[in-house]
Amino acid sequence: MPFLIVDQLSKKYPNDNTNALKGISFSMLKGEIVAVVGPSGCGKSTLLNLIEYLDLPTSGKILVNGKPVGDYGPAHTFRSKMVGFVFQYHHMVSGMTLAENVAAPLIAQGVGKLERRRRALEHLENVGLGHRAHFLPNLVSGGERQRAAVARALITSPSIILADEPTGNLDSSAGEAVFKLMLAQSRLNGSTVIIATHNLAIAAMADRIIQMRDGELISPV
Amino acid sequence: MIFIRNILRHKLRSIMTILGAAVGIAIYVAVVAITNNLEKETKQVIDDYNADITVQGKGAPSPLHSRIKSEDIDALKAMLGNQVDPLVVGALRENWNSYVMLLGVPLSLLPRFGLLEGSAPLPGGRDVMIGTILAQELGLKAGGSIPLGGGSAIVTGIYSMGNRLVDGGVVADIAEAQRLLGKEGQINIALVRIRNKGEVKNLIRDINRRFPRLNALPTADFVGNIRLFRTIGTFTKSVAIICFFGSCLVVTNTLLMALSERTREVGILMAVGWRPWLVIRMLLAESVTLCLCGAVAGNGMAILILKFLNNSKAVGFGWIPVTISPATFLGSLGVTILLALIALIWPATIVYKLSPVEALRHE
Ligand SMILES: Nc1ncnc2c1ncn2[C@@H]1O[C@H](COP(=O)(O)OP(=O)(O)O)[C@@H](O)[C@H]1O
Ligand SMILES: [Mg+2]
Repeated sequence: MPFLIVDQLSKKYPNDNTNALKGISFSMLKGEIVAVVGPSGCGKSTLLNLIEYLDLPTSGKILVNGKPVGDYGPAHTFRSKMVGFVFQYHHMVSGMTLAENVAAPLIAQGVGKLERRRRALEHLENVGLGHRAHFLPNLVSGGERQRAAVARALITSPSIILADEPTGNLDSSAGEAVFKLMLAQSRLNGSTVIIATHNLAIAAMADRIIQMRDGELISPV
Repeated sequence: MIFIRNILRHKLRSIMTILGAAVGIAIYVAVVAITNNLEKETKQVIDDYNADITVQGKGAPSPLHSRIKSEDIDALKAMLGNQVDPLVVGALRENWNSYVMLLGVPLSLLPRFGLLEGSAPLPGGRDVMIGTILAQELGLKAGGSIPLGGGSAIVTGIYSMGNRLVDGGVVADIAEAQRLLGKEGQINIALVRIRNKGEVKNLIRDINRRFPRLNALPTADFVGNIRLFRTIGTFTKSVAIICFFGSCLVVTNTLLMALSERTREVGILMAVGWRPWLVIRMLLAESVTLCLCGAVAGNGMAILILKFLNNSKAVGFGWIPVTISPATFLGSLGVTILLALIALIWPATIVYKLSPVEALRHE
């Protein structure tokens, strides 16, 4: 049975007259890694946001492990329990050190301070950033921020990892390094991964590629 | 700590906010200190006489405004015996101070003012004694003279009651006080002492029935019933509340600015699973920290305000407290927490309504 089912998903933004997503359907097995590719504006971010329950679809539904996402409780509970997210511009909270940023998802889970610290350091070590743990984000390089963002997405060992152009503004070798890191960790946890990317070299490392254009899937899925 | 870093990130703005909070808190503290002190010291003065019943003119807003005619006093004395002590109190406007408190007491009460030097004025004479605070302010010693009521009076002695209100004033024989204040033939209040305490209730009823122009009260209730204090209290509290809301606006504005700068970061935190309360808690820590700094600065400012008022000629000597009681300080911390919470209401509703997607798109 598929772990993630996206069924007839449509999204129309209020101040937009065309649909950003036009009835998309596909499904994924547990532990599968899928790359979503397509030109800018085709709806990749919209799709990922809906799967993360950051936003609500206009119609259609998303099932995780057989249950609609809405059945997991409030949106923040679903996000906290099920999903790790890597943003396009490796968003960090500027007032928090890398360690605090990485530990932020654990605060949502009510994990105690010492345990948070321990796990954050461990995950920063995993991405080679142990020595940067107590730096504020604006004092480290873009690549380091992005690796910290990966550590943050992985710290809760989520079932689903969503990465929205995680290598977007890194040069290709740094981008690939980050991506490989993410893949290795996800395979270890058995996470289901969706990555939106322009980068075909990176897409080629996924188990499967889904192509999108104008809010629709154009490749067989 | 993120909230400390956030506060330090905009130092000037944080300082302005702390000052904004401090002004409201300072006014609150000063007002509470003055009104509480005024009531406390007035109560002390009255309690000092050990009177059981206090009688004043009906409808008088304060002892200063109360009038009792001498014929009523005589009738009261005839009814109750010799336990009735009349008191005259008023304020003189002098060019060295526009609010000099003058107390006229009967001969029998003069020795009760703890004399530090000199002696009590003789009855029927024109001499006075003055409190230590006043003596200090004017640099006077026993034997000196003080300009009073257009003439000048010999200071026979200097007393200390341990009460700033009284120690900042002048005490004279009752007849001389009546003359200086232009209150011949009338007094302000009468203090009645009863040997048999069980009779107090009945006597109060009898006095009020027999003298429709008078109002007798148990002494314990007297200060709480001074209408002027209640009016002053209401007025000053209103001023303090207005200042408090001014402070609220300042703190709210800062929190709104902080929130708007960090909207995208709030989006990130929501995307990693934070519920709105966790975001609000972060703002709460900022709000409380700013306001507590404001409380410390505000209490400091309040002491400066009190010292300034105490030194200013227009308000008279002694009745402005120059310290803040622990209770007032603790009360100000309560007000501070309230300020921090009220200032958070608007930002908190914004956080609750924020859509994570919109927040993440925020520039
Ligand atoms: N919050 C929004 N409000 C209105 N239109 C949006 C919003 N987000 C995305 N869009 C529009 O939806 C379409 C898909 O955008 P997006 O999902 O960001 O594409 P991609 O991530 O593939 O570049 C675009 O036309 C974009 O302009
Ligand atoms: Mg996008």
